[in-house]
Amino acid sequence: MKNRLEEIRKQHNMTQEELAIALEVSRQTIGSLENGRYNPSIILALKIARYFDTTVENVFIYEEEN
Amino acid sequence: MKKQCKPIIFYFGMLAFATGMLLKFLLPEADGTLKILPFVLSGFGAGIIGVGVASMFAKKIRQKDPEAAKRYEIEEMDERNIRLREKAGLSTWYITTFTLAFLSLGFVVFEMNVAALFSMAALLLHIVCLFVFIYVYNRKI
Repeated sequence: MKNRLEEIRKQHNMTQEELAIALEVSRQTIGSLENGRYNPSIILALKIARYFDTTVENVFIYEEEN
Repeated sequence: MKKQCKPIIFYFGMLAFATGMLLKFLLPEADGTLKILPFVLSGFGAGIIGVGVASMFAKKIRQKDPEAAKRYEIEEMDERNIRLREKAGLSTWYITTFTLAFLSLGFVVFEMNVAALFSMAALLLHIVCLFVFIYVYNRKI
């Protein structure tokens, strides 16, 4: 699933490590999320959206697979 | 319950090791199964003791360094790591199933009937356990 996590993180001048600590996940999880290799659970997606004071849809882009 | 199990396993390991040493001392002229039983028990016990000691050391280090403890907690509870462990567990299950199946076949081919029976029993238990856990988790989740 595509996402704007890296873009939003950089807008807030944060490193992956800092974001991982803030969200209480591993840095590898942030890395995998950003390059689309891993899709977050609903709880983590909501946590991320809440942390950046935005909506889940603004961070994660869901596209139907044909 | 999980945290309480670890010391029990450690004491079980010590018991197995001590029993193995005692058997070796009490039965120096033993034959057959009784000859190798002390070594099996001691080896098994020593392995468990090793795991227990390593676990205790790790716990002590975490108690002294709260930041390391926090990092350890995050790594343990990280959802991606949990998913990784579950996928790895399932892949290991498949490999173990095929290994036990081929082992059973090998024992039968070489007419090692007792060994074949044990490995087939292990294979059956292995498969049944999967379906039991699927049933249990299906009701929980």
